[in-house]
Amino acid sequence: MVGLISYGAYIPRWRMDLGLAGARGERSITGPDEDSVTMAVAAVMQCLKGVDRSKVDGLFFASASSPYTEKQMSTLIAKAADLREDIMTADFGSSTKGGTTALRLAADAVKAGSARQIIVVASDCRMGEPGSEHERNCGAGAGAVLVGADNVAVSIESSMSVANEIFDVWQRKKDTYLNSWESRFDLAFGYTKSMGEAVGGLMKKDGLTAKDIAKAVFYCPDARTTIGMAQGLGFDPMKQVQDGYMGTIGNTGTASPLLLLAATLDEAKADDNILLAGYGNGSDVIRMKVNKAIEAKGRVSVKAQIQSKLNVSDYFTYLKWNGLVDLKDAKMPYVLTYASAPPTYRERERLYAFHGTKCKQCGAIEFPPQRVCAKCRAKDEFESVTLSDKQGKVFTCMQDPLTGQMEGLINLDGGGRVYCNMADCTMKTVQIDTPVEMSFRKIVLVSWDTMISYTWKAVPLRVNG
Amino acid sequence: MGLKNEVAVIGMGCTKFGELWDKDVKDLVVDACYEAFDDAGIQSTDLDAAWWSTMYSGEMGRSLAYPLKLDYIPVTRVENRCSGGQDAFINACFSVAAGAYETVLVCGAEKLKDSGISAAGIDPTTPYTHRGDIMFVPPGAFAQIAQRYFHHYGIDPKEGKEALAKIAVKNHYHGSLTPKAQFQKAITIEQVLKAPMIAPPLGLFDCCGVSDGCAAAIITTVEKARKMKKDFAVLKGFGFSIGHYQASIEDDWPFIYFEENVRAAQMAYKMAGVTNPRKEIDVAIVHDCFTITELIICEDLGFSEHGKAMEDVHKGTFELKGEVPVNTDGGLKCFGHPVGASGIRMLYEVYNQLMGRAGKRQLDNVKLGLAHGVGGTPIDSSTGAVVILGKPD
Repeated sequence: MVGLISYGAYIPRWRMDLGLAGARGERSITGPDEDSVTMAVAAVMQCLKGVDRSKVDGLFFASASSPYTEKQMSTLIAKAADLREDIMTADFGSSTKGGTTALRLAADAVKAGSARQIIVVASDCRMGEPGSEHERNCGAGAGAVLVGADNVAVSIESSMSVANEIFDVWQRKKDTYLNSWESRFDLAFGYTKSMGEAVGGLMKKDGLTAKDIAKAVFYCPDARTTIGMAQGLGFDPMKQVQDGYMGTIGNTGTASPLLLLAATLDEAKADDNILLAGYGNGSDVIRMKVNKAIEAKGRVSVKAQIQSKLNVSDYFTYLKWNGLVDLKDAKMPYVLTYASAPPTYRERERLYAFHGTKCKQCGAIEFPPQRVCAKCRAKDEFESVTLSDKQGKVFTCMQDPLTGQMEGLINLDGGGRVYCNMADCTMKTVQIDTPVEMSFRKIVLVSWDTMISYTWKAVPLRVNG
Repeated sequence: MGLKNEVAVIGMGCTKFGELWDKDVKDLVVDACYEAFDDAGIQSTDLDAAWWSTMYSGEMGRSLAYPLKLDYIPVTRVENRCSGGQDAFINACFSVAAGAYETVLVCGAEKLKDSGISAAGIDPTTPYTHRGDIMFVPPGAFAQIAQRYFHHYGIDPKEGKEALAKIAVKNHYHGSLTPKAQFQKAITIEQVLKAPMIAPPLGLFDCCGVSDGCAAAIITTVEKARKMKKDFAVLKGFGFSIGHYQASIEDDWPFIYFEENVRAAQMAYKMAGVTNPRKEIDVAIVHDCFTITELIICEDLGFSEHGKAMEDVHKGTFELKGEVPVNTDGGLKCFGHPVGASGIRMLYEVYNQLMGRAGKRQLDNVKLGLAHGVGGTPIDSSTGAVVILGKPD
């Protein structure tokens, strides 16, 4: 039986009050050091809580806002998640249904025996033009599932796809923002048509009616259209359709189905029938059945992540974070460092997998990895330890007076000290002894770098309840 | 072991420090070195070798040889961050004591204000490797040791900040008596406390200035010095220590003192025969890049016990008329910190105090003085450098 072994989601802490854009409600936005890749890593880390990652044979990354046109990001995400290197990786771009398509293909690969387990992660932070409906609707987030054949908590029962060649939403390589046609056309002949064909088609094929489904998880383009589409298929939108969180998160694009699925699974019961449907130039629908609740110590629920938030202070800051204003008076950085491929490659275990060393002689855990132990001076007698999933406490910290960037020394639980930047906090919210965890983030070395640099930073703990 | 009484300082020079928009680093080198040549009574052609300390403002020895037109002598460039000056001086002393050279120039210079940023110069880090990926600036790094110091000793942040403010007020008063300082205005505690916060608890007046400057020394053997001059200074001891990133990789590192300073002071005191630094050191010019640094240095160098320097600040121990006058010229606080130059500038004040040339800030009966530098940051590790000069026996 093939299905889901685990799942996870990530919603950035940052929100924009849509009052800043002349509308109501709020939506999630990426912080200044987040993108679709960092959010994907965060969702994968949630998905891997309590999971033996050595059995993971593949990682699929789906996103319409991957930072590169050419350069696979699933490899980077897999490395950040400290997966093996003899695995299959693939990126699914260009369509917001990429996540559900990747999930179908992952299930097929597992079923065919070409992989034991595959992580599917979908992440998006699509940009709408300032003042546009897309700007008001688009949110940022990521969702991940681990597909396998053993110890399956949610079995995949059946699936179906339809293709729909239409210009409803599109973005050329050179476009900063989403383009779309008139929304009445888009939603009628794009979303509503394809979702109806796929969902209706699957239920007909499986001999089911709407009342057989405990929860329908639908890609959600806006606050209204999903409700109308669901009603048309016979669902009770209030009871049977997963809330799209349009007033709090927004449309997370490719991430939408898997992120909303995580919210459903947070509260699902055994024997629940779940429908999952994605949209983007067609639709995929997957029917699943819950065998048992997926409990994982430390996984933070979608609801808790929605509640754990920070509001961006003003619209200029939002523009600045997204590189949408030229900062001509930007000063030279104090540390003039630039991205370089060889050290980034050479140090990928430190940089991405966040490995430290543990001395076999004295047991000291040290980061970055050392050749000679700082404590006992033993040479080359270390084993690697993964520090990305460790929690810790602030030993001391400070905010850069020029950039506002936080930095600090973090003492990790179980040993080891990390000197790193910190994110999603200020000197008002963290101090000596504040509990923290590690988060994969972007770092801008110099503005003219064409390689994006990433690093692990410390962030305040996010917890359930 | 050691070089006590082996090397003499026969001449020194120092430019005014500050935002010297109208001078190039080559101008500063010429000004400081020719003052030192005149003081020593030599010509540049009398030099056998030179040591040159700069971090950002020159490459190779030729960036010293070029402005001075040195006569094809060896010039060694030293870079050891903020204590490069002391390091260059110590290495030049080796050459004289070893008998390799007789008359040697040590020069340190830095031109920070051309970089276009209002912090210290741009750190020319290598491509993206560890430490390149952590965005930091010095005030943040030193503020963190202040936070830890307050936390460790249970010091109320308000009281701690007031004690630090007294250090700034003291050094600004000393700066007001020093014509070559960048800042020559006395300030009040209220001004310090009300100044803009830079990195808590450090405010604007807790941070040293950013300046351009150059200082130079001429050294020779004590034997030759006696033939040349009536009055000169003598090397009594030195210590130099460098850490290994212990603060950021050892998870039990307490982050309340600089082991490098402690070790460097131990070496220097041993060589100089100093057993009670608080009683025996008559003047100390130390690395007050931030007020918290001076506070901790006074403990590291043995003027106060660990955790007790604040009491001495309140008692006035480090003031001009105190038991151990510290930074009588205003320190980095008032001179700014042109990285490679600072170590020689500190020696310049010790030398002037020994020679009785310190003007309005002249101390009585100076027999032994110390110049101290910290290079790097406490967040991982630093250098500690101590050079002790005295009068000839």
